[in-house]
Order: sequence, then C-alpha cells, then structure tokens
Amino acid sequence: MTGLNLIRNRIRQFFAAGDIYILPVLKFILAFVLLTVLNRRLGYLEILTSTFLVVLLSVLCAIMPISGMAIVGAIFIVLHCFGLSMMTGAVAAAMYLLILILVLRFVPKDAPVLVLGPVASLIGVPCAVPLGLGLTGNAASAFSAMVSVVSVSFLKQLPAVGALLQAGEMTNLEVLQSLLENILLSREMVLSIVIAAATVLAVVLLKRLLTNYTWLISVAGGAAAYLILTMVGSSVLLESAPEVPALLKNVLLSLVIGVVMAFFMHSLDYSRAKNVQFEDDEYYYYVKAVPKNVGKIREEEQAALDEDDDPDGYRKGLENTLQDL
Amino acid sequence: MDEERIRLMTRLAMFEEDEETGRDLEIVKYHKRDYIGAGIVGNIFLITIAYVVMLALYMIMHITEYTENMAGISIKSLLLYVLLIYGVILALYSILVFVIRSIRYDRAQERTEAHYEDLCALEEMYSEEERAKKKRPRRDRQRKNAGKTGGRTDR
Repeated sequence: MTGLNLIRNRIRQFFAAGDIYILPVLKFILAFVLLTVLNRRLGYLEILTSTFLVVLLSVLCAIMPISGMAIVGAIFIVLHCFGLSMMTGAVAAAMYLLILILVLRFVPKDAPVLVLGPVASLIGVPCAVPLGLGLTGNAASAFSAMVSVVSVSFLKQLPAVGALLQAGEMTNLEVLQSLLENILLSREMVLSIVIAAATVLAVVLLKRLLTNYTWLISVAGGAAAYLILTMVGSSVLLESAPEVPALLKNVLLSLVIGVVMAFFMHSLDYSRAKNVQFEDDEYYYYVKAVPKNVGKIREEEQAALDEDDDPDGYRKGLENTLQDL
Repeated sequence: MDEERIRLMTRLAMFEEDEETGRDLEIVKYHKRDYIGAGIVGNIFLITIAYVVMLALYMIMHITEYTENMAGISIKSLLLYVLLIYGVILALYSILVFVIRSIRYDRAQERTEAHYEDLCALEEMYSEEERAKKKRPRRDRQRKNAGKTGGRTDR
C-alpha cells in the first residue's frame, strides 16, 4: 500500500507540475479515440471520416473544457445520422436537444457521459459509467446515467436502421417509428435505465456510510447492485437469461475502474482515525476525524529519499556505531 | 514590493480565474430575485422548445393512428390536453429552476464573502499607501526648511 501511495503521489505531482501541457494532450488523445471510434461504428457521412478533420476536431477539443468535447461528440453523431437519412438526423438532433434542455443543463459537469457512455459501451464496460457518476456526483447524477443509457441505446439501433433503409422494405416513417419505439418503449431500454439510476443511487448512498473505506464499499455495492438487478431484471422482465460471461467481465472491469477512481480521488488513512466526543448546550457530538494520506505520504517520500541518498546504508551504520559507542 | 499585497492579489486572481468561483462572482453581480427571474424566463423559452420537439416526436410515432381516426378526434379537447401537459411540465421545471437557482445563489454568496474581504483588505492597503505618500512630501519639505533655518521648524 505504501508503494501504491507513493506512485499515486508522484502521478499527482507529475500532473500538477505540467497540467498546462499534459491536460490538453490527454484531451486530444481522448477526443481522437472517441471520434475515431464513432467513425468506425457509424461512418455514414463520408466527409467526417477524414483523418485531417478528426485531428482538427481533436485539437479543438484539446483547448476546450471537457463538456465542449461532449457537445462536439454529440454534433458528430447527429451529422452521421444525417448521413444515414434526413429523418434519422432530425430525430438524433431532437434527442440530444431534449437531453441538453431537460437534464444536462442542471448537471453540466456530467455532460461528458454523452460521449463517454457510448465509448464505455463499445469497449464492454457500460457499468463503469454509473459507478463513475456515483463517485464523482450526487443523486442528481442518476438522471445523467439515464440519458447516457438513452444515447447508447440510440447508437445501438442505428446499424439496424441503416439496414432497414437500405433494404427498402419499409418507408422512412415506419423505420423511424420502429426506432423511436425501440428507444423509448422497449422493456430492455426501461430496464437499462432503471439499473443505471439504481447503481448511481446505490453508490451515492453507500458513499455516505459512517464506516471505514466507504468509497471502496460504495464501488463494490454499486457493482453488486448492477449485477443483481441485471440478472433478476433480465429473467423477470425480459424473460431471457443475460450473457453471464460478458456481464461478469463488464462488472469486474468496471469494479477495477471504480477502485482506481476511488484510490485517486479519496485517499484516507484509517489507521490514524480519531473518535472525538464533546457536547454543547443542545447536542452531544460524536466526531470521527480521518486524516488524509498526504502527511503520511510525505513521511514515506522522505524515507524513500533518504534511502536514495544513502543506498548502501553507510549513514545508518555510522549512526548505529555512534549509538553503540 | 509588498509581499503581503502580492499574496493577496494572487489569491484574488486565483479566485477570479477558477471556473467555479469565477462563476460565483458572475452570479452575485445580480440581485437574488433578478437571478432567479432570469432563470425562470430562460426556462420558459427552453421548455417551450423542448415541448415542441417532444410533440413532434410523439406525432411521428403516432401519426398513423391519428390519420386513421381523424374523424373521431375533437380538436378542442386535444388542444386542451396538449396545453395541460405543457403547463404541468413548465410548472415542474420552473419549481426546479427556482430551487436550484436559490441554492446556487446562496452558496455563491457564501463563497464570495471571503473574496470581498480580501478585496477590502487590498483597497485598505492602497489607501494606506496613498496616505503615506501624501505625508512624505510634507515631511521632506519640513526637513528642508529645518535645514535652512538651522534646526527650527515653522509650523
């Protein structure tokens, strides 16, 4: 644990020292990966698949706040949908407009889920989104998790819509009706929305527990809630068993991501926790004060530096000899 | 160079540069009632757009049913129904905006109090410096006069 704390502290220091350069580079990489993934997955509008344009937009995202990247990603998706058909594009634009007006304007810091949700789903860790939202946000983030599910579900429907439009068996209107019904009224969709919201709420509630290691407990609790609700919900509501290996892989990888997030965001030294009790005229107070790991890390770093300065232990040997004398 | 003043100015600049606290300063520029009122007016505009979009999506989904049963639909009751739902959604969102903006304003006010104290302290430092500057030439003149009159100062 000491080694991990040291590594974390050094990573933090590295980011703090060069955040002016490192953050834009990271944002550029994230935007590039995101836009490339969207191009590969959708790719309906030829002009957007140009590498030059992707690089240009990634540079733009690198200098914008992270919520700007979400807006660029959403516009990118809408434009691809226009490439599929005018009506699909209009529905996509309407959906993102509704998401922005009805939900994300109240929780603007959660805007990245619009693009991180689809990416998480594509790499097979959709559970990581509600876990991350629960850790970084509050109960209102349950709504952000819900809109992320809607966005992911919409993207999943697009290949089928493209196939139907190409087959020409249905009219444009009929295809759109089936798309909207699949997004808004399907049982699978309702179940996914409920699971995402419940996972966020589980994490947020468990985070407030007055025990040790609450953040780790909340990540584990959220992952367990996701797993149980998916298993039970699929068999009861959808009357079909979920793919257990894929589900377990999703939950375990998301659990790892959640633990890493908790490790970097909330590091307390429970071994030095103090329980204090005192009273005033109206209340009796039971206070638990848990120190952050910063102080301990500094001591550990000093010890490590001392070791670096004195690799063969000459100084310690000399001190021991002097003490013996 | 006054180290204390530099420290104070750095703290002030950092507060103004920070995304969250900078937004707080923008919020407290307004009176609370105006801030909430502007939010509610904006909300009416946005909810109207959102409702029109929702209606359009609903119409796409159910257009076939409506065209088939056109004769059996009362336009007046349909319009009333549409307006009623609009009113309910608008009322709910207006309450939400009212609550969120009230909380946001109160928090911003709390956070900016310390910033205004720092600003006052900086202003006080400048005034003290000005006062000191004004006093200095008089003292210099007095010293000069004292030199000319052999140590006696005229008041």
